[in-house]
Amino acid sequence: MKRFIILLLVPLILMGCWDKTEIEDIMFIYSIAVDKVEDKQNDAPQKPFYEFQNQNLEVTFLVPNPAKIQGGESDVLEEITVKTQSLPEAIGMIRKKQNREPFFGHEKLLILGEKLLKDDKSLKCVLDWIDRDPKKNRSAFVVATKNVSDLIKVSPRLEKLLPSYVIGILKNEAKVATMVSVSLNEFLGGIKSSGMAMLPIINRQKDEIVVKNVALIKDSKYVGELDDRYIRGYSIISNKLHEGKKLFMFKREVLSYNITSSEAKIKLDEENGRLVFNVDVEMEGDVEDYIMNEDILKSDIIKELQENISKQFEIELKEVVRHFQQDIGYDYLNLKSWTKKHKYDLFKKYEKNWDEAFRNAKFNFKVKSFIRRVGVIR
Amino acid sequence: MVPNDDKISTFQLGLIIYLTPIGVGIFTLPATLAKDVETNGWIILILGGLLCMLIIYFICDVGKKYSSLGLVETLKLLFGKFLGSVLAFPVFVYYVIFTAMEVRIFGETTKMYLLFKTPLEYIMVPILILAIILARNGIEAIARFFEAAFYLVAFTLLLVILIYLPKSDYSNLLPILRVDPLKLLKSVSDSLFSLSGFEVLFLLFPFIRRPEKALKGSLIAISFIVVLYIIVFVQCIARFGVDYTSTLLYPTLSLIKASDVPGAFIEGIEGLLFSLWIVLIFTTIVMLIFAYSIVGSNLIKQKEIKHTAILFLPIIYVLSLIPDSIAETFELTDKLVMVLGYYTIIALPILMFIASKVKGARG
Repeated sequence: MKRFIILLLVPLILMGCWDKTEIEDIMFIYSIAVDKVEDKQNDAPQKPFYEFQNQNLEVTFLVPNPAKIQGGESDVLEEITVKTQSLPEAIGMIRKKQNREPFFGHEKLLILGEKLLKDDKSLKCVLDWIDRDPKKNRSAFVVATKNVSDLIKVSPRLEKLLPSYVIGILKNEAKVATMVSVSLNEFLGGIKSSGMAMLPIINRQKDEIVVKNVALIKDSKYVGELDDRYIRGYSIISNKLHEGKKLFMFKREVLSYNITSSEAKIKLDEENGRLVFNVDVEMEGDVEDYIMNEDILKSDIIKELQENISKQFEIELKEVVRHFQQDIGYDYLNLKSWTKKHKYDLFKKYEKNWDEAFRNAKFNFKVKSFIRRVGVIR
Repeated sequence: MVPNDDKISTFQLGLIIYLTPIGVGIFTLPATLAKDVETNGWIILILGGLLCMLIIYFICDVGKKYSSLGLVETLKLLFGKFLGSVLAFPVFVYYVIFTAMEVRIFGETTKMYLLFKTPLEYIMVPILILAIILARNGIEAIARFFEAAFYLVAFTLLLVILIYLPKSDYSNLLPILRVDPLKLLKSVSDSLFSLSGFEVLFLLFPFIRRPEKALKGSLIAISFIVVLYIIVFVQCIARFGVDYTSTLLYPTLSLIKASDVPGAFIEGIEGLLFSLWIVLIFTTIVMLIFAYSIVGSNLIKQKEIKHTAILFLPIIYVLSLIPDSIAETFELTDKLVMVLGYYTIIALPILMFIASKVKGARG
């Protein structure tokens, strides 16, 4: 009897083998690139099959080839491309032409084509698929690009793999003020809660990749681009600036100020039925260059420089806000959620037509900048 | 030397009260709270904890008085033989269904995150069998297992909290108290039922070595759970924001998944945490099985609770497979809470408290 019971328990121990996967059978997807290439529309209400129609999307999976990496070859990234109507279908099609099982746990970069971003229906489909699957890596980076097929052909000069090259560039965001990087988590959170999100645009330039401008997304649809110059102001107002430079004019010379920390404090009032934001910014930094052979190590010169920098920042922030209010017209500065958090009564009052209220709002800036160090020459 | 007399110490009781409620609920809790009361979930959790403490006071007051009797015997003493049995029967049904749902949600979650191809039944059966083996060995074995598991869990939770503390945006927790007060009061039940499992205290009185200290131990345990829940809720909101949290099915798991450890030398720690979570689920299932077998054997006057535990095992298995989809599972769980949960957790303790006072005044 005892032996019989043990025999019965054996299958329970062996059930761990059900999910066994050999590492040789896995295809580690490093990056997914999706773009819309066609615009076929064919939806009859009832059909026996919906497969293999309207294959508007072109999906490319970038997979490092372990055999090539071991062999020390240079072109180690394999591109697996399919044309499909949705991503679940793409996975099915990939299984038809590749023997290894796709694994998304190490996916680090999601590249979205411009045409896909312009079609909110397809974009929502793609994003929902990514959001729903628990195996996806939520800290992956998301970027936008004009031409996906062109981009993925770049073979980086100093890196072996294209995605790690792009990710490395995006991580420089911590040191460059005129750049943003967006993780999948932030992107999905933005799209799902307010419908608004920003994505850095990367493009091919000969055999390099360059980050330039930011794609603005509203209601899951691409609405326009934000010029790089406006990003620093955006980062300062939304307190996302880590480090970065600003060029400023002093005595008819363009000099560089390296911001090492910045903190914006927002106060909100209401005046004559219009919102008034008072933004106080305090920043610290160093002067990186100065006029040759002129003594900088005097406190009144430093003070003069500081006042100059502060004034130019005030002009810059005013222009940034004007750009967002008048040219773009939507609240990408996250002031809606700020108002909800800190001034709930005003939020309730203007919640229904926030964009209107944002466009009419008045902004006052007060910047206080400090120069802490000037380098090793006087 | 700890005597082998089927009795547990106050510390062990506290551990049982601590580890039993922490189960599958902790995964869905932030989403439920975010949906109902937005950022005020932590207030609700505190209110729910206080309510829970009040109920624990009732339970302990009655339990101390009749500490040698179990729940069913106390009911029979207070309300007469027949009425007492009738009142005890829903408690039994509650525990049986609760066990079944806990096992099912455990299976579903494991299948979704860890074992993709393993059939659901094969995930559920081993944990049921293991839980039965432990539950059959009586309260002392259970308490000792809980002691062993506790240190493991406590250490890991500390680690996880340390990972998440710095990188989140805590201004997401504002605004405070800006929802309808009626809505707030309504959702107190959410947080009270996230603590459900503490009511096993009622059944444990015959096993407690010093019943007069049970109140203190349980209150400390409950406050620790509330603190843990608040930390989980605050972290989810701070990381994802209210709107996104409420769209997630298991925000806690997504939070673990979204971890980016500074320096990134470890990645994907969710596998590690998941296996520890299975320990937490296991403690819950063991205690629930033990609970229904006590109530069941008292009801049918069976002396050996071991036999009752096995007797209802097939029923639990079948019950847990009744819902067709994960959506139906959650609906059924909600219904269970609505009907039997209110009765077992709120109505019965109050009823017994009043009855014992009346009886005490009369006698």
